[in-house]
Amino acid sequence: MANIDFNDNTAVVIIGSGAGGGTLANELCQKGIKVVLLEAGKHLSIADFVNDEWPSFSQLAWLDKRTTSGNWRVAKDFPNLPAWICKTVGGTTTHWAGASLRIQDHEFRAETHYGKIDGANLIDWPITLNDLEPYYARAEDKMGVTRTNGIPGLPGNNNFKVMYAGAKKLGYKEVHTGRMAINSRPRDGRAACQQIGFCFQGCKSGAKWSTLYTEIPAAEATGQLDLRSESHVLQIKHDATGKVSGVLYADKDGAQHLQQARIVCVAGNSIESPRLLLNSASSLYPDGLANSSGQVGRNYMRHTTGSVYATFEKPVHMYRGTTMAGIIADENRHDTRRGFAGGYEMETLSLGLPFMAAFLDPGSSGKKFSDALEDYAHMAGMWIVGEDMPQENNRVTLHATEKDQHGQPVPNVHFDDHKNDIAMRNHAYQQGKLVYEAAGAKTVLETPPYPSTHNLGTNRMSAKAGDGVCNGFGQTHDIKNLFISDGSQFTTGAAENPTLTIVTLAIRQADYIAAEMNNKNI
Amino acid sequence: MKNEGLNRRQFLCHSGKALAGVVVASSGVVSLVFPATGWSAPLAVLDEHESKTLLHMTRLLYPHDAVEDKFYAVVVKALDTDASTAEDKAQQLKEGVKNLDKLANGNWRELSTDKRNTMLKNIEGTAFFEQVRSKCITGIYNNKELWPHFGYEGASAKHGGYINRGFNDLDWLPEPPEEASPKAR
Ligand SMILES: Cc1cc2nc3c(=O)[nH]c(=O)nc-3n(C[C@H](O)[C@H](O)[C@H](O)COP(=O)(O)OP(=O)(O)OC[C@H]3O[C@@H](n4cnc5c(N)ncnc54)[C@H](O)[C@@H]3O)c2cc1C
Ligand code: SF4
Repeated sequence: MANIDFNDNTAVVIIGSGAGGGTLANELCQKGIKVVLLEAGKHLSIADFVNDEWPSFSQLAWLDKRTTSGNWRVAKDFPNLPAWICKTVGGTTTHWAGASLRIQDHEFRAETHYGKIDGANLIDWPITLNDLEPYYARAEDKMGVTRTNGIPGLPGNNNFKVMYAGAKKLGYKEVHTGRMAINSRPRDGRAACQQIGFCFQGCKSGAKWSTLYTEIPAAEATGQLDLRSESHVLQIKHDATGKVSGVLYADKDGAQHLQQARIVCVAGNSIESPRLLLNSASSLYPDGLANSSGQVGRNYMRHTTGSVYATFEKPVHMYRGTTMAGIIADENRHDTRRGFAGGYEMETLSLGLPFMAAFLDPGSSGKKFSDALEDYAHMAGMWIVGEDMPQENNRVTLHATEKDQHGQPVPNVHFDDHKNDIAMRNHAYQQGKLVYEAAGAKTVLETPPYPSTHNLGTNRMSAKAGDGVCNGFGQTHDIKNLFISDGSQFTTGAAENPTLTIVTLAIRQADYIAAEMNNKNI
Repeated sequence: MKNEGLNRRQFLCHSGKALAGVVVASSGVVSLVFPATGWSAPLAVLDEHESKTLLHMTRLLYPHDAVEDKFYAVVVKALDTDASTAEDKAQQLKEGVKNLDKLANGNWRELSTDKRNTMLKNIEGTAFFEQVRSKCITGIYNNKELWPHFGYEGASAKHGGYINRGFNDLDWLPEPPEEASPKAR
């Protein structure tokens, strides 16, 4: 592992070691570029993971204070937990389920394809599927995505069997065990899935791709990486010319350090990344870095989600095996006859009993609720993930008075459902219900969205500098050696789970950064 | 789980007694006591009437007929423990119980189940209600001793996962074809 001096201004500094930052670090290191990777969380190993929902949550989740506002139900049920994301080396790729889908061609051209939608701040991505295809292929190979590169699909578990039976009765065509970044057979030095069922708690077999034990050790092996865990970046600094010059961070003892940099890449996930740009305001950039458009923190998206759980006469044991064990993809098209723009996927999901009690219907009590849990072993479940509309006022802002442990203003996450989101969610609830009724459900329960697992859009890409924060390579419009390298660059949310695209963009960004460094442009 | 734990008849003849004898005050100390299981827990803050009321309340909030009172008492004990280090929480519990009795014009516990449920509905969302309710969510459903009752098997990595332990043993629906769900390797 490299040991890069605080005053060395030749390295690329990356903030955050999750899907975006961890991948970018490895890609740059493989090209012989020096990287300082700063991660706020601890460096754990697979042995540290626990198959127990609440202890695992305390171990991995980002629990620094956040506040919420808006009409989304999360603000009422979980006012200080807008998002369910991680603070640990590997970021949220320790928690994630592994579903790895490409965004569809028409979804990159949302404005063109859907037309103007009232209240939506819709634009096209500055890049197309065509631009990304070769990089998607590299990402799928890197992550070992099933049903690509000749890798077989995973075997379906009980939860999938229920979904499959119902979906087929309903006439759905594209129903299978998904494209998952989980080894169905040993690959890349990692084991095959043991159907442990605690994918959200850190995969104990390493079958599921996580930057923690793939990208990061690979980067370390090059000798180019200086990974510093428990290093919380507070501010990005710039020089008199306006270029970024380094970052100020607090180590685990709270001591502050200034690390110089040639390039800074922000990959703290869609709440922390804009927060950091806003917290870095200076006299030259009074509204925060890269914010001449005023779009930093805006257009916060979280996917239109919800879950449908159903109980059956006979046992299911949905928690056995992969958490996200299968998909119905038929509804992912754009077809306004359904009453909304964009589409959604239905994916199996299971929660253990402790989380099921907390999330099934937060705040609820009484016989109906306990009867559902009494039937826990007879329950099947699915998660809805669909495109939500970017809205200017759905945004991350700095709290006026509340400060975190480092004295920095905490982020407030404001979210109002768009009427398109509501129409889509209701449609998806109905279809989910029909699926389970077709499989013989006794009762069907609609579960409201969990705290956001997919956080997107708050530093979005745009062709025009006035419409967004960065260009198609994640390079900020205002500051050419400052990059956005996580899901906050998404122009729109699309129906697909985002991580494959985050990884794809990171691979592409690494090629661009290397070329621009070579050409002495940055 | 449906087929595990006590059957309904066993439960019925056992629960009435258990609930009646739960809280014992001797020499000023109030304890939750379950002679049959040898479980007992002294309380720091709650008196006999308060702990009995809270015990009834927890069972009404999350009724599981076959779950022994002892497990609801664990929730009451946890509320008492929290209250022992936070004066405001202790006050909130005591006031909450008083308020239920006030709504009942007497001893809330002695009302019919329907009436008690209606009154709980009336106080839903109050800080007291939330204090008790949220403690139930972790106290009941995150109690490992109760997981077998619900058919949740808990940690599985140490048993090698479910790959050979029934991850796909559901047999009451048709098997999906191989292209949708390949065989395990
Ligand atoms: C339960 C769950 C299931 C999921 N399942 C799927 C799925 O099946 N498919 C899918 O595509 N996606 C899934 N996701 C989403 C996926 O995990 C995220 O999209 C992805 O990890 C986001 O990558 P990222 O790089 O933007 O951020 P992250 O992976 O969250 O990484 C950000 C990192 O930055 C660090 N950081 C933040 N601020 C600072 C700072 N100031 N200084 C230093 N470090 C900082 C954080 O600690 C964190 O480690 C799931 C998420 C959850 C929670
Ligand atoms: S089910 Fe598979 S992917 Fe999920 S935790 Fe277990 S081994 Fe890992």
